[in-house]
Amino acid sequence: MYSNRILLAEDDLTDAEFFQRALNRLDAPPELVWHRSGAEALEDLVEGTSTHALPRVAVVDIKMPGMSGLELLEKIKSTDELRDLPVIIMSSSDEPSDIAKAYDNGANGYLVKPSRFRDLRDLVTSIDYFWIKTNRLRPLRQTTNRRRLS
Amino acid sequence: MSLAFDPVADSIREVYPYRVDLENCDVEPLRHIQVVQAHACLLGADTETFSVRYVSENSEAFLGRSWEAVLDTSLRDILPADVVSQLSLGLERDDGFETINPILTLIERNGERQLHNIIVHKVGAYVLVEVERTDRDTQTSQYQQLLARSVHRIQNIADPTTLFPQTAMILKQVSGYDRVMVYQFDRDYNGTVIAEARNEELESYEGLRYPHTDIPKQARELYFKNRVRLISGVTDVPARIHRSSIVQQDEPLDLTLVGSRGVSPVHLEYLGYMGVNNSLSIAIILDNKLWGLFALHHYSPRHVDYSVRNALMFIGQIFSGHLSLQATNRYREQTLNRKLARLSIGEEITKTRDIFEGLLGGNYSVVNMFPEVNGVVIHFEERMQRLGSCPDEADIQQLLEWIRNHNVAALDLYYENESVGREFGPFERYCNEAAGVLLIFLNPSQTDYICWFRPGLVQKISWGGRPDKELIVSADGKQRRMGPRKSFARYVETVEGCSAPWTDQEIDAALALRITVINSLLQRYTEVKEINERLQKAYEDLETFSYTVSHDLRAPLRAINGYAEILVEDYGEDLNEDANSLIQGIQRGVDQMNNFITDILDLSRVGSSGLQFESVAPSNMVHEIINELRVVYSKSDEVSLSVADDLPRVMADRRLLRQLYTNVLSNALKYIQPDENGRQAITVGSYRSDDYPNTVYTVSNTGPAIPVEFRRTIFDMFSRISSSSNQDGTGVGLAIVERIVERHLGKVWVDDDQLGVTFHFYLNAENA
Repeated sequence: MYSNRILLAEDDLTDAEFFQRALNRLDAPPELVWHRSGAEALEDLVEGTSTHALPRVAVVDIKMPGMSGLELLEKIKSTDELRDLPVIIMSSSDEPSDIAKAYDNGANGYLVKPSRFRDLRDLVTSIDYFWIKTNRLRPLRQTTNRRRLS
Repeated sequence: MSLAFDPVADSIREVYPYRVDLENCDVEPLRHIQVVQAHACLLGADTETFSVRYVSENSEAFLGRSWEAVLDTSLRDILPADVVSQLSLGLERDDGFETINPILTLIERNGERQLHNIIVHKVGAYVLVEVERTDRDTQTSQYQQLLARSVHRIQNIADPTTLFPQTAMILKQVSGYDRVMVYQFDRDYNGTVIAEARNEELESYEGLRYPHTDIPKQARELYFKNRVRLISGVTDVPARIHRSSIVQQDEPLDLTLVGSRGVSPVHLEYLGYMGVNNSLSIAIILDNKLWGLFALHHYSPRHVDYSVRNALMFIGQIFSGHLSLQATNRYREQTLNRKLARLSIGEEITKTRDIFEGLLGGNYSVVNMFPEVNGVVIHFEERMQRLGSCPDEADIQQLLEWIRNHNVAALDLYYENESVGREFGPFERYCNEAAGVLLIFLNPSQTDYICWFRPGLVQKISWGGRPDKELIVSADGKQRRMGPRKSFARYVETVEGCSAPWTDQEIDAALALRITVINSLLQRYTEVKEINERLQKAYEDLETFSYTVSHDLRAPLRAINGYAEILVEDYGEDLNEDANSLIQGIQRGVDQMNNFITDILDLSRVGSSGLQFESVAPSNMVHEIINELRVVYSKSDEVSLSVADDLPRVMADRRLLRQLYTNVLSNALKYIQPDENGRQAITVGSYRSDDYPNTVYTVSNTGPAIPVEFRRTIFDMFSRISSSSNQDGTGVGLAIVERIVERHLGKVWVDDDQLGVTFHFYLNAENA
């Protein structure tokens, strides 16, 4: 069961705050679950699989101490119960190699952190529309053994 | 020459125990000659039984018994008892008869007792006994005194140049011979008379050269075993050696050690032509090589006592020692000099980091490394330098090609020739200035080298007669043999195209220099490599640094900007106009900073990423870029843009080419100004010119031309022509353009030839 929640893995307090503030400007803001590290986020997600309380989408920063965003992504996509969770990488890097690496690891989207708040607000709106409002209409698929073809 | 009667040919057949090839003097089996000279009698006895198995025909004259009576008799019955006891003693000694010879004894013949020298050698299973008459007047002590004086005089010769004539004089005084010659062999064993002492009435032989065939190889070898060779009386009839019937026939007696060994009939003929009656040669051996001979000639018969011969041999040895010492001193001096030169050159190369400077510019130069060199060529990494008198560059290159293609370089390391023109045609015309060549290669592919040239010497060789032997054919044509030279008249031959020879020491020195140069180059190469590696590392560090810094700088900028925006959005209505404009100031600063960071990131990417060259059609790309830029530059609506639709394809990294056009076009949009007609235009085109290797692409915009003094510097980092911050450039964009063009091995420049400002660039990635 997916809840009306959005998970954010972000070690930077300011970026997290902006994300929250951008989210708050939505008409019906989803609940934000914020983790400051990849490990913490993964722990929460694994726990959620048993309580059927997974977020609708995870927004993950790349550069985090300990487990990096790409590692977290890889863990999510290699765990059967978590594989269908959409993961959006959000990074300050627009290096083509970073982008390619994210998609190779199964990312569902890649966003470069905007330098303007209003651009962030637009992005957060889009995420809410597509991954929460739109994808809610998608029939929930049972967990399968389907492997991502790379 | 044809002879009806050839006694020499007959004699040759008689004196050897088997058939001898008469057409080749080099194979005449001298040691197996079966005659002894008339001045001695030879007995060859079994070492076990002392039974005589060989005896010379002349035994009667020395021992008072016919050879038939001596054969198969015991030595005990022939020789005095004291001699026989000495024989037994010598046979037991390790050094044989060396310290026993000669045994002085009285032999009774026809009731008369005469003093004799007995000289003994052990050869195989035989003891060979030579019996020679000795002069009663000759006192050993007298010769010893003479010898001591001679040795003293030789050792006191201070001036090396007088060593040879002085020694010849001393030998003449000691020996009483008519003529004493110091005879030196060259590499090929041709001999030259380098000094002489002679009776006044005799013609001088000094400076004469004798071909190597005069003393054949096997004769030279005999000198190592027996350093003194006496030919006592050329006209005396030699005595045949008779063999006991008990002895096997196929066992010829080896007379190598026998001083009275018979003389080759050919050599007797040779001496006869020269008018010599008595000849004595003493070997001069240096470094185990036959350096030369003392050749003593007498024109009338004379007897030379064994003690005298021994004394002369000793003088020969003293002389060899003296010569060797001189040579060693000279060698040491030369070696030291060359070593100093070599080390100094090596240091100079290391110090100056320039091989040419090092080889030529220091205290020592390769030009002076060897005597008599008048030209040097150095070739290193595409550069050739000729010094002094050298052949033409093209001819030198031909020579190199010839050396490489014909594998004539020794060990592939060096080549030397004292008369290169004889082997390599194109150098014939240089027989004066570059007859001799010594060359060392500095690299395995034999493209780098140092080459010395030596001038040709016009050598006049005075042969002691024409240096040709003569073929003598018998009347019936069946017998043929080589005869000795008959003419000894001075015959002068002129030899051209030959330089002073390169000595082994000089070649060694050249090879040592080669190693020194290579080591110095290696050191230089290592230094350059280290610097390059450090540079590469610094460059990588810089790129990592700018990448990291740019990313880390963005986070606080996002914070500043974000908070400012939120402030305006949430509380803008509560703030007055002044406060709002202050916040806008903050945001403008942040925007500017962001542009900077973006550009620096772009720049670091130009250097760090690997390039993928492909054929790109620029027209579409330019249209796409313009569409993107229109959004950013609002004033672009008033600009008339024209892009050639058929810009030729170019080999480029697609991403970097896009960046290039983006930056150039942004620059054009940024600095565009209306022309005198109020028109604003940008054109994108291309042209071909013979001045450039590839198509040149252009971007032009209307506006004031860039002053000439800025046309170079605008591509430098952070350079902007207008220092006012009204123009929102970072000064990095064009630096990026230049970096991109450089990575494509192309060129970018700016001028004012079209609308006002035109950027030109061409790429050359095909050669990257």
